[in-house]
Amino acid sequence: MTDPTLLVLASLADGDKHGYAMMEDIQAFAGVRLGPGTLYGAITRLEGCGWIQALHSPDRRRPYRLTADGRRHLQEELAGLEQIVKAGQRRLKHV
Amino acid sequence: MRKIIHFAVRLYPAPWRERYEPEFDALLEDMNPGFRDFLNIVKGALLMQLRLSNIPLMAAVFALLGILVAGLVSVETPRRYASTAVIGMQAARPDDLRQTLVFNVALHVLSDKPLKDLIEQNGLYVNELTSLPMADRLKRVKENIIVEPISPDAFKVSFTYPDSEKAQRVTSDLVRRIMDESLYVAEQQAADKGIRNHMQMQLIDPPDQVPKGASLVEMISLGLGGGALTGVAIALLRRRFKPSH
Repeated sequence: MTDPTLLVLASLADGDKHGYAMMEDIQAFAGVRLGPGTLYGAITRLEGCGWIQALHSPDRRRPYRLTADGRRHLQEELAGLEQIVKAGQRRLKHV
Repeated sequence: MRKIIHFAVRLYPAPWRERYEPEFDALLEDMNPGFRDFLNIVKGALLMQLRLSNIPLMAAVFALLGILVAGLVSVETPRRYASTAVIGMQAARPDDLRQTLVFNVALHVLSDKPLKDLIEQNGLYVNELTSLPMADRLKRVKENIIVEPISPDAFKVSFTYPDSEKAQRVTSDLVRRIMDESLYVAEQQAADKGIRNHMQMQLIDPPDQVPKGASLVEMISLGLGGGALTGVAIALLRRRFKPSH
C-alpha cells in the first residue's frame, strides 16, 4: 500500500498530526518515506476532497484532522484492500 | 542545498504557495532535506502546476526541466569526432577508371583482414567491445568509415570515433593505405600494358578533428525551447479538457 493519500488518511486515523509528524508516522507504520512534494500533493488533494481539514494553529506547523467523510472513505478503501489481501492469501494456499 | 530547495518551492503555483508555503517551509526545516527531496519537490511543483494550469509558469517549469534533461543527455552521451581527409588524383586516364581503381583499392583496404589489423594497431573499441566477437567489431568500424568521391578528381575518407586523436590516426592510416595501394596497382597495370604510369595522388586536406552531434549549448537551447513549448501545450490541453469539478 503505497498510495500517498491512503497513507496520509491512515496516519490521521489515530489523531491530528502536522506534516512532519505524518511523515515520521508513515515511515514507522508503513516503511514508506514520503518526500515533501508527495506528502503535500496528497494533503492538497485530500483537503480538496474534504477528507481532511486543516486546524488552526499559532505555529506554522499546521495540524490536520480526518473528517467524517475521510474516515468513511478510508474504511471503504481498507475494506477493498482487505478483500484483495484475503483473496491473495487464499490463492497462495492453493498453489 | 537550502537555497536550491527554496528555489524549487517557488516553482509551485502562487495560489498553492499562498495557502501552504508557511507549513511547507516548517516541514522542510524539520526534516533537513537532501537532493532526493529537491527532486521530489520539483516533481510535486510540476504536478501542482498541471492541476492549476498556469501557462507562463508551466512553460518556465517545463523549460527548466528541458534544460535539465538536455544537460544530462549531453553529459551522458559520449562525444564523437569525425576525422576527414581529401585525396586528390591526377592522371591521363579517364575519370571513371581512376575512381574505379581507387574504389577497388578502398574495398580491399576495408576488407576484414586489413581492418582487423587497423583495429588492433590503433586499439579501437578496447573497452566497449572486448567481449564482442571480431565480426561485430569489424561491423562497428565499417559503419564509421566513409570513402566516397566528392569530384571526378577527389575522394573523401572519414572515420568517426569517440577519441579525436584515434579518429585522426585511423583516417591518416586509411589515407596512407589507399594512396599507397592505388599507386602500386596503377604502376602494376601500367607495367602490364608496357606504358608509363601517369597517375598521381596527393593529400588535398589532411585529416582533421571535428566534433559530431549537438554541442552542450545547442542541446540546452533545444531543451529550453522544447520544454517551454511542451509546457504551453500541456497547459492549453489541460485548460481545454479540464473537468468541470
